[in-house]
Amino acid sequence: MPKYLLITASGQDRPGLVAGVTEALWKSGCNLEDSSMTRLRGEFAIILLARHPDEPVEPLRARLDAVGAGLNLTIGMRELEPDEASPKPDEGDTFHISVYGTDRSGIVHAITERLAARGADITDLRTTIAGAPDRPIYVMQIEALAAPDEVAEDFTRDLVETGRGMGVDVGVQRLDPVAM
Amino acid sequence: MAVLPVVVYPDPRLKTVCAPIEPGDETIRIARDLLDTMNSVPGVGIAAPQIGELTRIVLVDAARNPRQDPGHGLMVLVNPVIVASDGKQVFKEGCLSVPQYLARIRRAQCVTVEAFTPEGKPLRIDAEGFEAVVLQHEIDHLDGVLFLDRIRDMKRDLYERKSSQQSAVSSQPEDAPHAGRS
Repeated sequence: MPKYLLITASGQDRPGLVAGVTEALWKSGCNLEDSSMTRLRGEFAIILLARHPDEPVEPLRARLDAVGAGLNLTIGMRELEPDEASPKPDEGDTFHISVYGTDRSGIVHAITERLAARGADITDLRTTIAGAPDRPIYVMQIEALAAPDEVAEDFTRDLVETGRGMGVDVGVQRLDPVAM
Repeated sequence: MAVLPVVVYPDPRLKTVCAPIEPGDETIRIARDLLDTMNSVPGVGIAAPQIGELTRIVLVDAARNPRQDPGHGLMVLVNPVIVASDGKQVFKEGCLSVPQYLARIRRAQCVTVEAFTPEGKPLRIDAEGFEAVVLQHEIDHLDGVLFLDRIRDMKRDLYERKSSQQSAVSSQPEDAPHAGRS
């Protein structure tokens, strides 16, 4: 039985971070199953799911520790159960939510609190500050999997009204993926 | 009548620039096979290379997705060419030839396509929204371009779409990174 590992790594960005971490994985016979890696300003963060051979994971841990020390990365590793590591079927509709407006505190919390209350699962979320330096605007993009019994109109109205209460604009779009 | 297996990546036929084809019996046969195959799968369009025919024929039927504007319904297009395009839209696309993968792709909002019927009658189609997405996706197949080739700006797609709607940014021709590779 292969082992599935969730590995996170973050630290100050510089060339070679991904190459260093993946070298440790490769030398330990791992396959990279899924990953998300991105830079926030000067910091870089890696989250990945690796399939490890049916062997002790200590050699990998030692390699990652060495890489982390060399590249000044904070590295975490957690072993998953096989069913935790398998792709999840999407039962509800997927929505894209864009929230934008004058920067103020509490926007992310207000919107995500509504999503949580409706049983929607956030699958991706990104925020950034845009606009001119003297007039910053806050932009958040969310991809969320709604509850299976969600009604698109109710979902949209709830989020738009929540945004209005916060003084921000909210756009909701149901993603309707189709094969071509 | 023939339902053919859908060619899936990494089959090299999906990365091939297809040849134009003359109207006539052979074209009518391929179009029929495309329709039979499309009827057997959950898709709204299909291109000839997806059944292993390296010719320039596509079928598009936006009406097969009940949540979207049906557009012109079923269209069989031989040697289709996008002669004009305008605007931008982002759509989450999947492909019969790349199972189990979805991606947000930015494409033109409106396209004008010139083509022929399998019998050789010229057609000119104005399409927008969902139907325009399907047309662009299928015509890309004829140049060996997959939707995977169209992914870019991973962090910005949604925001750019919003801003282009608000300021009515004039359309820039979508650069086609692989279309000139023939």
